[in-house]
Amino acid sequence: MALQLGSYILVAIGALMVVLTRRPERQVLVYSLYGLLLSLLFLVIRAPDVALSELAVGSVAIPLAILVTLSKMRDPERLQ
Amino acid sequence: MDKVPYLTAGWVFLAGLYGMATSRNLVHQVMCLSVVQSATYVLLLASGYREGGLAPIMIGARPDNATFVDPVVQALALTDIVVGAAVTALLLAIIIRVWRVKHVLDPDALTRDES
Amino acid sequence: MSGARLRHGFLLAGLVGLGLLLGWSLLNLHPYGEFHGPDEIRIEAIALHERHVTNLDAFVNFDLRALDTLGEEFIFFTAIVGLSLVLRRLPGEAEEGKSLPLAAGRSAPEPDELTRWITPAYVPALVVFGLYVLIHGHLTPGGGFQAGAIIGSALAMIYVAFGYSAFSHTVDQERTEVVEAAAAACYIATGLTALAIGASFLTNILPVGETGRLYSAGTIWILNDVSGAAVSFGFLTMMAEFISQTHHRGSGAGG
Repeated sequence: MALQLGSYILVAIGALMVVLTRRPERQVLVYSLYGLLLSLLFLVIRAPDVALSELAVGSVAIPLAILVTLSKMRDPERLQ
Repeated sequence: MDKVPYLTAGWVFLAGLYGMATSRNLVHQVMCLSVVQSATYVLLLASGYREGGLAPIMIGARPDNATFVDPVVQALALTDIVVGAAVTALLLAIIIRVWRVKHVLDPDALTRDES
Repeated sequence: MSGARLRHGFLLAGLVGLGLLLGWSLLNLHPYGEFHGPDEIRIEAIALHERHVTNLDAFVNFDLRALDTLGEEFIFFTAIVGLSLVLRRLPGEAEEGKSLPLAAGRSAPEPDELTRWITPAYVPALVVFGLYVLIHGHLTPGGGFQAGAIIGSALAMIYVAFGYSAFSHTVDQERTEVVEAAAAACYIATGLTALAIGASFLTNILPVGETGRLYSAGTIWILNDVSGAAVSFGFLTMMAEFISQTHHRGSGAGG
């Protein structure tokens, strides 16, 4: 029970951190960590399938896609 | 403890919504949308939880009158996560297109342009 | 700047209102932990005895609600098709002949030594693990969607460690698109087979076998494997689309 309470609170804090990180390059890493926290919450809620799904998707696949997208959109004038 | 799970889902939803509305970067907005989607997963799974229930895998030894947590909401959530990822990827592709044409990633600047 | 302040005020007022409604409705849900489903349907009672399947989520996804999973899979498929459509080369666009601009005095970063050492050991293990998760989806936690994400991300590590040409040799985008579409069609074909013999669409018609064996639970493992193939090749197509955006075509090894 305490484990579940802690997991829910960590998820709430994690979501706030993801939203408050404004720069996308940094937000990707916070989002990946948030995916891990979500996956832990799903595990503690007795949902191993969902935890597996969220781990593979939210911590790896989506941050990878976002990083590749960001690397494509660089501003030539800002590099000095 | 009774109130925390559902309120967490609501909090995450509102936080993601706030992030989306006050965002100044399209990629940041897409990630906030993903956070909003994760709030629905938390709500689904929290509503299906049964006190003293086991995970819905029927392998191994278990007591005779064991109950399980609800598998239907878990089935919904796990397909949802993967499909949400694909839609996020589609949004990222659209952002790449927008960048190539306009070279701006600020949603406010984009709407101000069309006048 | 008062326009922005006004908008911000509206946003906060809206969020507070939504928050109050949301809080009121969420607190009126059933108490946490006391889920009472419809009492006539006991999923765990029929799963083991009638279908010999041990993973209840897979049972719900590929037998009880197989039609909804078909819909979800086609949402996934449509999103990948849309992605390829959005990122296609438009008639007026030239081939990307320029590489990404570099700052003066710097060269392109080399992939990390450690990454290049670990990846050849790590990627095959991940792919095997993904296949394990896929094939045992009706027995242990796992299944098509999870395994698809694992395999798609594992092969994308090749790009991270070795660059675009290695990745394009491993993952041929035209072929992955064909396999993804074929897998989605196989899902429907399995359902139509049930129609052909007189049962409803997507009924479980194969013999159920012995609990715990790989070939048990009727059509569940077929639908599971097929949707796993569709999702994993869909993820590979998505990765290939994004990664080819960062590469300047026309140089390097021909894909």
